[in-house]
Amino acid sequence: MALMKTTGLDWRIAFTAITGMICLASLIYSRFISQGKWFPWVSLASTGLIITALWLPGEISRTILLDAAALVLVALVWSQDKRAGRLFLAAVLVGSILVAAGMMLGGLFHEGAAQPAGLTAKAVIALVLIGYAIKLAAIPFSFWLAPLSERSSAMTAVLVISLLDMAELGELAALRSSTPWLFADAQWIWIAMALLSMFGGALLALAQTNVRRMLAFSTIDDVGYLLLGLAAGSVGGVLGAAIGALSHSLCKFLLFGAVGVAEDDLKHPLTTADRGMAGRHPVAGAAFIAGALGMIGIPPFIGFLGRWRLYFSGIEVGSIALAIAMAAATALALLYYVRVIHRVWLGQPVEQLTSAPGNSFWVGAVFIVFIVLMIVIGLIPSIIPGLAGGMA
Amino acid sequence: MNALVGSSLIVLLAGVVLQLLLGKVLSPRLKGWLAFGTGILAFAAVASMAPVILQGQAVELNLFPWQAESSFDLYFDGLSFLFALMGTGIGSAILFYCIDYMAHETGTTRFYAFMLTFIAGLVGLVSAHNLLMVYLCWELIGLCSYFLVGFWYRENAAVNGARKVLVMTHIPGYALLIGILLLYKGSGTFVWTDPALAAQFSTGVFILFLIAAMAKSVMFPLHTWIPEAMNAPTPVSALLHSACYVKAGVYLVARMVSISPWQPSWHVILMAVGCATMVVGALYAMIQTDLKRLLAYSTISQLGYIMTAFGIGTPLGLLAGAFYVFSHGLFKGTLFMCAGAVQHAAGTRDMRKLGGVARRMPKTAIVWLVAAAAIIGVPFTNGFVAKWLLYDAAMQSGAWVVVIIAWLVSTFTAFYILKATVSVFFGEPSPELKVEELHEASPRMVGGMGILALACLFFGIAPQALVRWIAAPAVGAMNATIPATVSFLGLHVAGSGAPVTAGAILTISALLVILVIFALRKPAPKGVSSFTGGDPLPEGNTLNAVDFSEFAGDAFAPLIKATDPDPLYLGIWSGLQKSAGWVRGAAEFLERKPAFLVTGGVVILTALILVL
Repeated sequence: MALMKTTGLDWRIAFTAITGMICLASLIYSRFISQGKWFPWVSLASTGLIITALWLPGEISRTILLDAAALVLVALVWSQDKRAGRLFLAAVLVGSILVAAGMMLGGLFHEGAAQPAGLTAKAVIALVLIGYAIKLAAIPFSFWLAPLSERSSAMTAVLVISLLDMAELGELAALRSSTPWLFADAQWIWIAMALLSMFGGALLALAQTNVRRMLAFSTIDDVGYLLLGLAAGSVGGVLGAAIGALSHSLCKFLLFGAVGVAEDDLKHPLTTADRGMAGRHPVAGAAFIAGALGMIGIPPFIGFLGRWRLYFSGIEVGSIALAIAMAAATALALLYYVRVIHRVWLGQPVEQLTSAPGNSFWVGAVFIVFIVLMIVIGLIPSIIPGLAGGMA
Repeated sequence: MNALVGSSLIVLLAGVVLQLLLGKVLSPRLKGWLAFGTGILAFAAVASMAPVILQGQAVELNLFPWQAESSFDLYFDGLSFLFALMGTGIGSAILFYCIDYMAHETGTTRFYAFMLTFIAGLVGLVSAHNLLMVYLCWELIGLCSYFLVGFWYRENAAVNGARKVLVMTHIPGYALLIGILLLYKGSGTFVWTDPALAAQFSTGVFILFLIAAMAKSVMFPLHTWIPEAMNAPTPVSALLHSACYVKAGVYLVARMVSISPWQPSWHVILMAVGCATMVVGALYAMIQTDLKRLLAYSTISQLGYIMTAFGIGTPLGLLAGAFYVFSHGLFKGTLFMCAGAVQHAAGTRDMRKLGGVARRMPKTAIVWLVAAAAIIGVPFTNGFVAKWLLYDAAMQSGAWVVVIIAWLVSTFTAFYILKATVSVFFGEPSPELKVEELHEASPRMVGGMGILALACLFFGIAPQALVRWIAAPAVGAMNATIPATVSFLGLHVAGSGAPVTAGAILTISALLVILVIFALRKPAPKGVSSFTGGDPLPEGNTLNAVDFSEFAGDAFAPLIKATDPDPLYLGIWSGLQKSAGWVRGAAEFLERKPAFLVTGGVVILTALILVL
């Protein structure tokens, strides 16, 4: 509600819609490309917990439900790869404990609590900042995301990144609106962490040969932008971060989904040594390209609605230098996405696969619906209340 | 009348939807007809705005609300009219040409949907009233060009070209976005006609806008993407070069003139960029052996002329710019379509493997000759008038350096266009060319390019038509009045006298040089005979187009090497990859020690928070 008061965007409606769609899409996807025996049940359970958390009024119950959703997803990841599961569990536990400790110490579970004084305030800021940095895999706490993306199934990665992570970001955005001092008193530290995530994530993504690891680092890169918007704290900055999170959820479904299709065909992890996959899977290729362009924030995709506001908040808080830094990081993002698009998806295939591609009509249809939706929302944002902005 | 402003956009977007819906049931030819019909309807909608535009008025329409800060507001004035007419008119001719050219291709639904979106993007760009919508359309045409250049996405050469287009035009596009946001921060509005926005237009914003325009309009040193984009289907190249893509940058520069009065230094910067681009484009064009790459470099050079004209900034300079930009659309579109027809028939565009094509493709050859004459600046073509106006504007403003450079480059233009003409259409066919398989372009292909060639002649013989009906309203939209008396007897520049005479002398002398060269390079049975200063060269040892390329390459080698920015871009890319490799090494080391990483991060961040 705090987010709605500040930005006009009804985060609960918007994120519920996106979450429901991604859950449904991942279930359809898992019927044709296996995601593991437990996936449908875990998908429904974690989505249910996240959506319920969104609509609960109390801060404590929301936090508990989101942590419960995280633990359900830990179980799913663990069943697919133990090391990735262990790292994810560590991140969930440490992040949740730090955030909860910070919230309790600052009295943030109670609405309208006054700002604590002196060292306590600094301790609260440190706990919340580090806790959320771990949960969102911001640099330097991104250790768990790349192994998870690489070793769990494609749709498992989508549930963690598109739903859980972005729900946590929504919580942080709400906190930004209800407790501005958490950010204002350490604004440059938030900004520094955001820039570190942006550039670190982008450079790491550029260096990857495994496409799923590249996607993990691209999430870290994007989290940097979203944190920057929250750090700026203007209406545009917070709204930009919220829209960016919604866009991130949709794009990551397309990106991981497309990679999953290619891997299902190749029977090995997709790397930059693979070529010409769009020739066998044109719709998946289009989905990957659309997801990548959406992540970069190119209009007319929905991401642009958030991205220009984030740039503007950068200008507001740090003048043109920060905006140029953001543009440089986006240029890096373009380079790493284009590198994969042109090495892996387009051009002539190197590996001569003799089997038929086996494209599923329904998976393709889901991809097309997502692509169209990203463009339609980008052009007519008012179909989601508050997405077109308007709070001065 | 207001509703008509949006109708061209709506028609084009409806055409896109129809292509997508009917793609499965229509044949490629029918899709072509549908696209052409859409283009013509959009052209008619734009042309129907003429009565209002000719009165010097602008038409506004709020199409639909987009975001709270910026709706889809349209503002259609003389400048919009010029570019929209070019986009839809030349675009329609190209779509007509496509009907046969693309008849045997697969993926035509995608092709026509992107072509129509491309044209709609340009119309949206030039009609946008708020700058955020300008940026949206700017990137939309960027995306369309990316997908169209990479149309044959299974071919490495095509997708490599597409990648370069995207990277080299999208990244500088952020300069435009930052410039727009700086204006918004200062003025609180995105509407470019708002005086509050004009008041914020500083040199910094001008530079940011110019960077974006330079990348789109292939200005040196951001020009190197365009030759690589030549592996696209030829209609795409034609649209990219003539009407829709490279002209977007020109539009942005012209619109900057509308928004705010320019400081003197801005003129100097633009003229310097324009002149450098003119020279570099022409130099590289001379050493090409691939017909489409030659035309691509010639686009770079010609865009240099256009930007220089706007850089002069006087009313006559603006008129020259407006006249040139439309004329270039006509003759460059024609040249590309001719090149496409030759490639279609011969299976190659390598000038070393062509020759004597005129005998088998006489109509294409005639159309090519008209457009070639126009780009060189032969009298009675629109190119001659465009150059005349440019020289006159430069001389009247005392920009003698511009005159000399433009004249020099005109000579280069004559060299490389004649080289292409002789190599492709005249002389003996190359042994590699299967002459018997050559066939004339289909009537629709000839019709598509022929109509543009006729327009080149028409506006050369009656330039007053283009000046009065198209260029003058555009100049008016740039807050200037054309300093020319226009009657149906001809075009008479008010300040005529010595400068006009000098301009005429320069132009005619350039033409004489061309005639001399042409006479010396007459087609010969083997190669092209040349004057050596004494006895003729022995049979079989004469200069030909390849020798010419090699000669130009040798003669200008140091300059060509010095003006190639690609090694710099490659160095940046290599540096980034090395840095990424180092960061990856460090990250992988830390990833193996998560406890150490978390503890370290916690200690550092806590210390920072406590200290600050």
